[in-house]
Amino acid sequence: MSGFVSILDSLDDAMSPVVVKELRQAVRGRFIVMLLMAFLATQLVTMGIALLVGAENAAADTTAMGRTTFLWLFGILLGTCLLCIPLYTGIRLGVERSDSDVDLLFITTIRPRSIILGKLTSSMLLTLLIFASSLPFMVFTYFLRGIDMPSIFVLLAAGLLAIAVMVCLAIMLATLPVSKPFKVIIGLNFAFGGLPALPVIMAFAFSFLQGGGGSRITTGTFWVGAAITLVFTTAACVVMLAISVAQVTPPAANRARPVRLALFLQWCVTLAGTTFLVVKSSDQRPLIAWMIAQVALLTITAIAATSERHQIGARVANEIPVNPLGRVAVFPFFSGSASGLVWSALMILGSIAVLPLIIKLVMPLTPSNDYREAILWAGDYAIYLFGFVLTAMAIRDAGAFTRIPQSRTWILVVLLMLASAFIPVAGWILFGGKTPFGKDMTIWMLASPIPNPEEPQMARYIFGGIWLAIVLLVRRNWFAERFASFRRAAPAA
Amino acid sequence: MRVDIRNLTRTFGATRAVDDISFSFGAGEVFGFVGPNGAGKTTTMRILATLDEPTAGDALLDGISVVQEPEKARHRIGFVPDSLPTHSDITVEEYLDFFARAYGLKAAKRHEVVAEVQEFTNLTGIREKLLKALSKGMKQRVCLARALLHDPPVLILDEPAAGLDPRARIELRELLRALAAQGKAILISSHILTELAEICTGAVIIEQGRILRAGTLENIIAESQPARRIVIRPLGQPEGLHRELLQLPHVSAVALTGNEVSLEFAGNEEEVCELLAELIRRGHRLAEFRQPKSNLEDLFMSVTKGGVQ
Repeated sequence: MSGFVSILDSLDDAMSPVVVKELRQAVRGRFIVMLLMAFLATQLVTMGIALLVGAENAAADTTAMGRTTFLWLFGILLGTCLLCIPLYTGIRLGVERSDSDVDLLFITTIRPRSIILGKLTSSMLLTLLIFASSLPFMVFTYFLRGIDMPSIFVLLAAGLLAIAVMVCLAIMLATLPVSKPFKVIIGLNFAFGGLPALPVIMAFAFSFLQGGGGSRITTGTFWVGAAITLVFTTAACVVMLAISVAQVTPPAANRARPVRLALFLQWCVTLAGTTFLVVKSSDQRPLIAWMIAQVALLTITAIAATSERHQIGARVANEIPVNPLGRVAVFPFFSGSASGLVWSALMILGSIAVLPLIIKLVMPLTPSNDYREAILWAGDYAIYLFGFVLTAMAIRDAGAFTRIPQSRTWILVVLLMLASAFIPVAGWILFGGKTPFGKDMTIWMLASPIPNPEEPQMARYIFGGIWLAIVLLVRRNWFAERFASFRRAAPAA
Repeated sequence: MRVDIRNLTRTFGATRAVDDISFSFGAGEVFGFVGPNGAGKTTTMRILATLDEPTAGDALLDGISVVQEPEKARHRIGFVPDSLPTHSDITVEEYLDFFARAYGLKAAKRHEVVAEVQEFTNLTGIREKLLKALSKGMKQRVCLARALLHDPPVLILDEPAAGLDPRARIELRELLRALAAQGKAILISSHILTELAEICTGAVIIEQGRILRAGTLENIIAESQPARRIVIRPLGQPEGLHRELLQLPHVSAVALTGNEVSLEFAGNEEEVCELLAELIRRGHRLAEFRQPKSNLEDLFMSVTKGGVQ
């Protein structure tokens, strides 16, 4: 008996404190209990109606009765979980973030990662509870004919994956350091933005069942598709969770590291998945789409880096390796605007450079030049992006726009980009014909952050290159100082 | 256990919230941290609790730096912030159990510690109550219990008496006295200076991020008042006594208030006795001769200007 108790105690100790607390609160709170009861009642009524309709039409064809009933039940299940679970998780975390309780956790031995993973785990356990309560009804549809057992479980797994993504998104949004009204706006956007996921999954479920998806479960194609979907969604979840961890980590810590490591990980994993797709389909377009998606994602990190602190604190500095080579290697993975810019630049460069390498490697005989155009477009965009980013930082550090605090320098970058994109268009419309270069859009759009794939790029490359070189020259001392101060803190006297 | 705050500075942009402050206190001491709103008390306490990082300087807990070794320092600190727990659907026991788990306490030990802490803070009777059903005083006791779970040698309490009724304040005071008697080093900030004066062995007065006075209460009061204040109430009319006091050595600032005469006396204890003997020798019949003790409130008002940043 004592052995059994000690096993139970060990299991209890192994559980995350956050999971234990969240589940206790969920069980005690009225929301989950009411949700579960309402859900069960709806499922019961739906099943009853299906059976009644089935009995009335007994003479007619009932081969699709199980499938139709399943789709109804599945829709109710997904609708409930996609909306309620992420909202419940997000609101709870948002409320906790607004008081000092999260702060208090940091003076315990608990890690920010454990807090976020605990939230995700408890939400997914609640989801599983709802799934488990609906499982008898779902399985019962098998006996009504028109659906096979593997299809039921494949679709439930797909639904679970979609809910996990939405919960990760809700956690990420709840951790953003914004005011309460802004959080409400985000929450509403999320609620109404999340609902379209339901028809998409339902459409997939319908076509999967109609196409006899269950019968393909033993084929390689099915598992390849499932694995790629799993890889991409997991990568997205990891990035969202890493951003959440960074948001709840105290500012004194190296908040950038989990985000950059997660982004690097997703970069590698999605590149591998996309390369596999390219090999299978002999089509280079997935890789081009991957590169554009990565450059878009890394644009956010580059702009966000401008708002990071310039100097790192003693606590972060304590983690810097003493070895000079180690210092160089870890520099991009530390908090700080210079590190963030270097990391983003390296990742964008890597995303562009890896494209021709992989295409040459896996498709040596490809006649298509699509990827070369994509590389030129991305290179053009990257030069301008860093031109804008460094210009905004130089303006901010020179003392202009002091009403925008350093931690909001990203606003200045966005304003500069918008101004450069729209003012020339307005100028072209108003004065286009009255200037020496007339109606030639190329000159007018020379400073625009978005390259035009139709226009020749040489002029933009020259203009952007000179611009970037000038701002790099202006900021060289700043970069040098940042790197020089990037060293382990001297021990306190 | 010794807590040493050394040249601590914390800036937020151009604002110096904490400006090169240094003080120390040790086991069994209750140190009051006093200052107007915005003086830098909470910032200093958050740095001590490892929740914030100083721009310069350090704080050492028995030689362990809160900057260099925050994980080690955390095991030695119990922090009670100025906000109360907002969890609604959780009982007192579950809340304490959650934090005990977060401090890494394992099954049997955890149950034992939670029970002990509940008993010490007098929460055993309400352990099954939801946090939302508790009064402010009870919630404050829960906060204190939470900070005691890992038996830290240092306790940092930010405005623990704010908004408490007199009974809850007295209970809190008794708990803090008991903790100090157990050998804990306690730093407590409060605006209720009479409360602080009753439990504090020392104090730090801070304004606009700078320390104005620091040390034991006796020392800082003595530093602030180079001359003793003496109040004398004679039987009968005080005017004659007033006139004679003006001629005596070490006596200054003689003032007549009702039937009392107050004065400032620059002599030592021996000379105070001689003053009393001299007055009696001169035939004055004295109903009262006392040296009113200056309290923390008087001291606070005399050294601070009420400036905020």
